[in-house]
Amino acid sequence: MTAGAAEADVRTGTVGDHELIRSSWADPERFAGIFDRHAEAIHRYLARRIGRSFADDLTAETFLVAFRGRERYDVSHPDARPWLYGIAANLLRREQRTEVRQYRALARTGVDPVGDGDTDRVLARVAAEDHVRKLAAVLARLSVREREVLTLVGQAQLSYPEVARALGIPVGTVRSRLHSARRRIREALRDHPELDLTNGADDERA
Amino acid sequence: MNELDLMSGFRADLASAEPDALARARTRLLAEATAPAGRVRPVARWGWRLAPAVGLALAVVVGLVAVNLGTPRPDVTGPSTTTLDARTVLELAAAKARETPSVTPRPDQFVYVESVIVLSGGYVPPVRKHRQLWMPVDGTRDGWLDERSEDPGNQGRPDLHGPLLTLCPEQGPDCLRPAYVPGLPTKTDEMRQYLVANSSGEHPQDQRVFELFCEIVQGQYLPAPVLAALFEAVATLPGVVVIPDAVDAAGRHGVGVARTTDGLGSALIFDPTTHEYLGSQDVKVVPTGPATTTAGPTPGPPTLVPNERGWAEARTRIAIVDRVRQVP
Repeated sequence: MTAGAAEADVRTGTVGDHELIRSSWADPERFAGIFDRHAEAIHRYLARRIGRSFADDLTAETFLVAFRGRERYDVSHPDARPWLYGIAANLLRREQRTEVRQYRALARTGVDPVGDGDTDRVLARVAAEDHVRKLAAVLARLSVREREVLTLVGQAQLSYPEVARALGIPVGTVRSRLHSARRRIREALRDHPELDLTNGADDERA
Repeated sequence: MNELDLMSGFRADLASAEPDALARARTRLLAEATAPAGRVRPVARWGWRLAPAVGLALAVVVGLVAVNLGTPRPDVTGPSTTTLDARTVLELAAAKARETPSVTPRPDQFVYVESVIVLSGGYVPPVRKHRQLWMPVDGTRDGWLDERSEDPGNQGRPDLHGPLLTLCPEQGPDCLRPAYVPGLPTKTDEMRQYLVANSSGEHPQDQRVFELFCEIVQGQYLPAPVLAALFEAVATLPGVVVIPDAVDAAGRHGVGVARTTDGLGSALIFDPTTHEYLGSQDVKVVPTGPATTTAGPTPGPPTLVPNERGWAEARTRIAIVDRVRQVP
């Protein structure tokens, strides 16, 4: 395959991530294709957990860690997202204090420190709704393991098997951590019937 | 609607990444991808890009002077702290607390805390803020928070002026820790048991106890006998090290005690003369000491330094007042 043809394939997405990663073993610059496909989503996940400033840095680190480990990538998986989310989640483990402090600040002040830096918008922002503050208080108290599963499913929209792959844990463990995290949220929000948290079933995403 | 829908909406309106930020990250990746093997370019992160100058700035403004975690030995350069160990620092702090008159706040009053805080993160230089905080003693009414940055640009960390909302008056398990908890232990043994029973998280127990200890000292109003029991309970905790010359977020020099697990942890800083609590600082262990010889960087033993991604707070005043926004 010529370089030009490969570029075209990257744009149309017809080459799987695994092919791209495999080709980067010999041609490291090809790994930029993995960045171009997934950096925005990884940044978004990181930003929603810890804010955009940290996310800028951790996104770069996620792809550096991935790049350095590219030869260990299991090329039987065409989709690299779980691998990348797993690296991002792992890097976030070192930032737990910051993440938890920000959830607490949101719970206590109703102002999210993770919000945009635009001062006008900040000044105009009204205090977060009561249920958002309670949700933040729960997030601050969850274990990092529960928080990882909850955010990978609820925010990154990964399936249970994808989360299992991302974190290197069995699917059953994903299910049990998610179950306990959801139960905590449900209990904390029991005074909010308007949210109608009645669909308590673990609607597993296959 | 279920809990996952709530999470799906939580911070969903956050703006996407700045193209510049992604471009920088991509450049870092390509720099590594195109670098000859084993020759990786320096990372352009805040704190690394200007490594020597920033290290100094952190030490002066928000930091601790790096402390060697190797074999304990007298610090020959620190004139006033040559013989202190962590246990002594905490016992002196406890003795100071024991001789301080104890004040029990009324439920309708507020705990007023004035502090200097330092927020940091990622590519953004640290932001120093002056904070005034009024917390309701009984946790049933709203408090008040004023935070103003020294730097008008303040790096996207807006000033805050507004009510500190009370989350749940009934104080269930997912409520925030209140400003004042009546009935905390005043005896060392009971306090130790309290810390073990109430600590949580992923860390080994001793680290959990130390983290809870720091959180309580930083975040709550503590009658003097409770504070003394806290210091005494942690004085004998294994793994606590002393920082002979620590600098708090307000620039005051003191002596610190710290504990880390997996290279990360917290430190509390005390006045070296009065033994009063000054402030707190996130710390991390770096594998080598700073470059000290003319021959260039030399590998050294593990060293404790301020965590440049962490948090620092210097308490300049704590008092009991009758109303929010009342300054004692």
